[in-house]
Amino acid sequence: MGPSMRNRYFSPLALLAPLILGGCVAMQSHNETATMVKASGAAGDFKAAIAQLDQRNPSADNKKELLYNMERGELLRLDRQYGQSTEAFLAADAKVTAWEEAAKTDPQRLLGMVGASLISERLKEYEGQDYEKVWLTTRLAMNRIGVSDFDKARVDVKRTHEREAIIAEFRSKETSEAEAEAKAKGAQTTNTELNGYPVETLNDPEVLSLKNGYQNALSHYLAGFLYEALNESGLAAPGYRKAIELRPGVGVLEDGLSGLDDRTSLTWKRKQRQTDVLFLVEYGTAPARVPKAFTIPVPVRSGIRTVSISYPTIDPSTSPQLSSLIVGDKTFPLGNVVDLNLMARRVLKDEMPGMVLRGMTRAIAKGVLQDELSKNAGMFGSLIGSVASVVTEQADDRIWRMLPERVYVARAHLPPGEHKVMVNGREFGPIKIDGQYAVVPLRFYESVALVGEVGSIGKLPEQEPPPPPAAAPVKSKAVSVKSTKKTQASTKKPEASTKSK
Amino acid sequence: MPKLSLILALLASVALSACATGVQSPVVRFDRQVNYGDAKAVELVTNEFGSSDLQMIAEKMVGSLLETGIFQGRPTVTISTVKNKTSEYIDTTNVMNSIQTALVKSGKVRFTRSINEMQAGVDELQRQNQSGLYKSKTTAKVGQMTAAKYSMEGELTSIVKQNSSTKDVFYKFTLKLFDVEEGTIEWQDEKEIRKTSKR
Repeated sequence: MGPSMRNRYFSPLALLAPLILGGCVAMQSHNETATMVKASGAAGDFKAAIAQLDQRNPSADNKKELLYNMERGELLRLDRQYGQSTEAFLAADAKVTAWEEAAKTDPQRLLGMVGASLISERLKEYEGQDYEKVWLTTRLAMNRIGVSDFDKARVDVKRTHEREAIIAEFRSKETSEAEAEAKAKGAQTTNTELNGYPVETLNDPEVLSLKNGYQNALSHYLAGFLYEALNESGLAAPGYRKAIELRPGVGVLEDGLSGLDDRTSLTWKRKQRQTDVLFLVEYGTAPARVPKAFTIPVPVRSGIRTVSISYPTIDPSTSPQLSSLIVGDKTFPLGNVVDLNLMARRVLKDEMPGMVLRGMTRAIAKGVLQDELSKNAGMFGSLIGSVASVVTEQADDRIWRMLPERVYVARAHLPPGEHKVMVNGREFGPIKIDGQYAVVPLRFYESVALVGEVGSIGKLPEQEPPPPPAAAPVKSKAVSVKSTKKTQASTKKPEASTKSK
Repeated sequence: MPKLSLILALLASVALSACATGVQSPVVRFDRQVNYGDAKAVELVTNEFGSSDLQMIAEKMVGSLLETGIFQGRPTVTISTVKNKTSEYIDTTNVMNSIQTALVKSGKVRFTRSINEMQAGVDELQRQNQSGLYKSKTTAKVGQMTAAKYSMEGELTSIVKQNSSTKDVFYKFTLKLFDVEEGTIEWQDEKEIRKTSKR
């Protein structure tokens, strides 16, 4: 075999070999990992689920990755290990912050990253779905509320708004670039259609009704609630208003804004005898991106060659909706504020045109490579080419799976003390409610119903003692001062938050 | 001898460089370019509410208030509510703080605690009167606060219009001064701001 002959087919092989061998770790299916993790934690054993996640991500580099830390943070939160959960989320957040910096200062660098996907979508560094970036700071805020660190929760809430603005700006730039490029190349901007792709899942009216794929009403409602509890009604109003804009027609959200002035008035606060409770009811887990393979014909020098190409799909949810929350003899309506299945499908829909174009480019390159290999290395080369094509051609199924599928909110005024809560026939509790405001996180995860750490903000005014028969005027004023409600948020941790699951 | 001249040269350069640093503070700088800017510089990064809008509003309101001559005899004023009716997370307290700072510095008016600041005052009164830690002669007496003659109420609204290439935002800040006892509006002004951006 002459050197020129060797070079002719060894060079494509040399290109493919590291991809086949070294690519194996990078090509690992996140869907498989998430299924195994979910199975381990199905009965509420989240330590086993975390161990499973660690086993699938053994190296030190794996443990620095964004998706690993988001999944781990959520599992630790489910296990009520809020401190460690926050640490994991912060490790993930550092990656998103780096992305934000690049989006602000060097967006071309991020736009150029699509080049990696010319071999496989999975070889791209996972930068997180846009809605996951927003969820991350929301989750951090919720963890902080759970441990009564309201100052840091406020910072995280503020960062959520800023993050959304950066995402909006970056995506706007991306769209402009794509339009300009398409125009320069004379390409059509209409979507390329794939025969057999379940397009109806992406063109679902509910998916199309979402304002975008990254903002969620929960983050804004929670911001409104926290600002209200911290006595900042000027900032609470836009929080509630934005939540309504994102999820119109949800009564709970509308009540948040319409009752704000009354709830924040000094008269109401002096009279308040019951805790203003925000129930966050989370259901299920986020949807999977399931790869679906297609075979497409590709023109090569020797004729037409069929190449396998893979795209992710997301099945619509079939799980039942939750409708109301019962506390004692009172029923409160639950408002569905986030549906991650819809959001994930919306993101996929927005990504599809680019993904299809990249897939087509990839298919042509692979078709040409296979053709060259079969011509220069005969059957063996053709076989290697086909194997490499199949190994590398797997749709990117990375997505934050431990997040809830849907989130509902209910708001109730309840007397301080222990309460049993029922949602769709499942009982949570007893849950200890205390303070002027409280946030109660509840979660349906597989077969278990979980109660998170209850965050209590502020204190209810002390009950005024019955007036003495002939109280002196000065003394009665002192009593009135004493009874004035503490409107500032207390940073003191309530002593008896519920620990029950 | 050459050693001595070298030492002298070194000392001279140290002395000279010390003179130079005496004029200018030392700067620690890493790779990234970070610079201090003029806090009053016009900010046009995005068309959302920004520092220049805050400053323009405060300037207009303070100027208008001081021109009226309503503050004869240093009356007392309190800040009531500042409603944010936009969909932006704008800390309206900041706008009122700027207005209050300028008015306090003018010396023509006295401000009493606002509703939001009252709790801290009540807490301090309770600490002085109920903790048993203070000499009774030195404690602030309960029931001696001065009530405000005027109450200041504000509102910020916005109208946003957007199409594929242009975003237009119109802000309007309205400020009113009420006579608390009579319930009359004694002064009112507004500031309008239009910001347009093109893609």
